[in-house]
Amino acid sequence: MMKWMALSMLAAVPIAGCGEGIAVVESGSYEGAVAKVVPAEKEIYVNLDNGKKIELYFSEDTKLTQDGEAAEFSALSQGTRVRVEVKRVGKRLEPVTVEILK
Amino acid sequence: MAQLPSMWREELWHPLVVHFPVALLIVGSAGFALAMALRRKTSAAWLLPASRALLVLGTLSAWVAVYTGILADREVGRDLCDPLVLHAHERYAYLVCFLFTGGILADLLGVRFLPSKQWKAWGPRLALVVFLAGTITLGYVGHLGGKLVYQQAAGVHQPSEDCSEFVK
Repeated sequence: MMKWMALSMLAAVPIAGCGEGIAVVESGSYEGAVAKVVPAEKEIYVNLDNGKKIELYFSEDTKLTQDGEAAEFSALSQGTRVRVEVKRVGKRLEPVTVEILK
Repeated sequence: MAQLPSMWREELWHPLVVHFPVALLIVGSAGFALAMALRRKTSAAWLLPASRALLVLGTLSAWVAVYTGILADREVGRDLCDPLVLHAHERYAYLVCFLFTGGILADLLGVRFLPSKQWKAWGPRLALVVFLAGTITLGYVGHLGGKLVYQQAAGVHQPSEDCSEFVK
């Protein structure tokens, strides 16, 4: 029985390493590509050019622009290049501005 | 005057459901381990089917808990101070579901479909390892859920300073 319990412990070890790797970055401006859009929650995931992936929930204060003009959230899709200015609050990232790049 | 929030909010289905898999899977796994240890004792023969029933019910309720967790995420996810805890909670919860589902299938396939008696014994043995690994992971999922509620007040109403919402 002890052998099986030890095996179970070992089985749980690699499990602890798995993950999709959402990162927290400092406040500032970053560029990257949209990895995923969740319209129902006005939420996007962005693969930053520095290799990190961040999660952003849009708020009423978030400014989304394209070619210098206000844009709709629906203009975002997977692969869209964006420049985001984020404010770090705790370990939450609040998008201040999101600019759609060409 | 502040309003007292409903107790039927969408995010509250999760804590209602989540204790079923915690109880059923832990007791089911312990029972399964005990049944394997006592498999030669006829007086303990009831233990194996009883633990299997608990594990099946626990796994079903774990999938329901994942679904209600997704509903809760929609309501509380954007306000957390450390959303990484929520991501880890969700990820490991899926893992618990997959482990127990896989363990049940290994047990079932071993008993039903493997050809010889010697081979048939390996299904439940493999299942036992997976169930115990799943139980350890389940404990961690619960720990992360506790961190969300007791450190970040996920889904928890913060009463106003003067408690005015409690005055009828």
